[in-house]
Amino acid sequence: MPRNGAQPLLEVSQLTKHFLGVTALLDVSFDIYPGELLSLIGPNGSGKTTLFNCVSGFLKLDRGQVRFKGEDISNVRPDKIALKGIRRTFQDVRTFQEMTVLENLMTALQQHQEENMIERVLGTQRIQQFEHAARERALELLDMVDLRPWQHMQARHLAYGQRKLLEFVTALMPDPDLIMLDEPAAGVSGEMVDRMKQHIRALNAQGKTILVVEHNMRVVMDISERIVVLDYGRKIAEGTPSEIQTNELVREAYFGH
Amino acid sequence: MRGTSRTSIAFWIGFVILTLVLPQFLRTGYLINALIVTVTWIIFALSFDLSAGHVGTVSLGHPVFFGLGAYVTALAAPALGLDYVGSVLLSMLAMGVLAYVSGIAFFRIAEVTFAIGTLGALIIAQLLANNAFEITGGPMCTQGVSRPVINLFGLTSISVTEPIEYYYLLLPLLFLTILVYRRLAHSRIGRAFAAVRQDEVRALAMGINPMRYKLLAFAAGGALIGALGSFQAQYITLVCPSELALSYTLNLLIIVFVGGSGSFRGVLLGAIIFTVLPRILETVGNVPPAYQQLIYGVILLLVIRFLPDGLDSVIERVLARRRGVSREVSDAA
Repeated sequence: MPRNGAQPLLEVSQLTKHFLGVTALLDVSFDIYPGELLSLIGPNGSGKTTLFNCVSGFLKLDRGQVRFKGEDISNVRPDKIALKGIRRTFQDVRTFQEMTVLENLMTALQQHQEENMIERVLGTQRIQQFEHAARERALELLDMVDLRPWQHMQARHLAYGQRKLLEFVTALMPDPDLIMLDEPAAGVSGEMVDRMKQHIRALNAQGKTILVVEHNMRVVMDISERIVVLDYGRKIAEGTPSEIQTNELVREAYFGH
Repeated sequence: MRGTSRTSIAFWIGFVILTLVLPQFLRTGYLINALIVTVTWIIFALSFDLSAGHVGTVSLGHPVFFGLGAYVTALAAPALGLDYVGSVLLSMLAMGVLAYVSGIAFFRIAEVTFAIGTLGALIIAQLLANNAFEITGGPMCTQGVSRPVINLFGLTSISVTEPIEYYYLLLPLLFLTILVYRRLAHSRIGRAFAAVRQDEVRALAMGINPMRYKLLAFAAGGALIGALGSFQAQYITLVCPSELALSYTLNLLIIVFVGGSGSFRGVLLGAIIFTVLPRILETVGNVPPAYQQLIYGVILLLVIRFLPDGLDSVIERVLARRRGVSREVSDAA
């Protein structure tokens, strides 16, 4: 919902994507405003992850447009989108398994585009200052999710829930403007779900704009300000958690016709 | 952290001194030649490992840069009137550019086809060298490559003829290769390399352009190998199509994967074992070459079966244990 006429941070309009004749997304439009926490829900195969991949540049759009801070980012390469200030996580937790926990975080910081390759090779003082600052930030984030004791351990030795937390803070590392979380509560224990929920809430309370895809309805209803519901690639509803809970179309989509 | 960096400075000072004084103890041309071969393979394998071990792109065509680098020096340097330094730089530049440009094409194809594609490039290069008789001399080789001459500001010049002089001529290239290898592998760039190797999709999501880093490693390695080819041409004074041989690729694979890919120590170890072992087998054990091949085969099999991360993984484990112990001790204190 527009806040005092503020510009949306992300504008998705008429997004359409086909896979070999199957329509994965059809004319999906929605906006996210700065500081908002918006969730994307829908039954399996409704196109949530496809939408995520289209926004983050991993899939080409067949039609429509994605704008970020007013700039058209449709079909821009994913690494460029990341550097513009959108960071995402993956449903099937992806951490760099052979890197240590700390290195995982340090790798996430690639936005110092003003430094050139020569400087990097030489490892100038400026680069060392960046490195120092990056390490400080990484340790801060590890403290936040209680992973600091594991900082020198390879990521593959972490438990699944811990890797999920690591991926979460890795996305926060460059302080992005928009954070996209793909199923942050999937596959983890009840206690970890609660921790994840708290972290997401705290982050949003600090003013971060967050887009979440999530299956766990309890989580979605608890954390979201606004929800967009997809079914068979179409947007069937949009509204506050209480509006969505009483929406007939949503019930039908989830519990059958 | 500080403690390790002090030991590493001590290591490098020791390493440089060792490489400088080593030939003084090896009196015969045979042994110094053996040393040059070892250093050659260290440079070759480190350059190869930049791509294979760090970025994870295993090309089977790396000898192209070696052979063509040698041909560039043999054929173009005299026409341009270049001395040793000039010819090495020319081959370096030419092979760096070739690697970069061919890399743009090769890295667009998928992983499996990448290996086959680069292998194809090697075979084509060898065919060309064999058949472009008027230019390369074909199987008769390009003969009479002039020995290195270094011009000192046009005032005087030094000509190099003795093996020991050649060795000192090769050393700067070794140091340059190690410097480039270390700076690329142990820096922010190294982390981007590792990210591309371990998970390209996630690397993209972090703003890393995989193509950029694949090309960087490939071009840097190609340039260094090109320079090595230039040295080789002026050392042997002969460039043959056999310098573009698939057997070199196999040697690189053995050195890097037996020693330990992605590790300076591992590659160094692999190159030393690979070049020193045959001399020992030959002189001490009197083992004929055919049996030597068999022995390498067995070593390769055993390492792959029992030490999939190479010999270096054993050293790493021992060091890690010792570090762990010392940390416990210092924690207890």
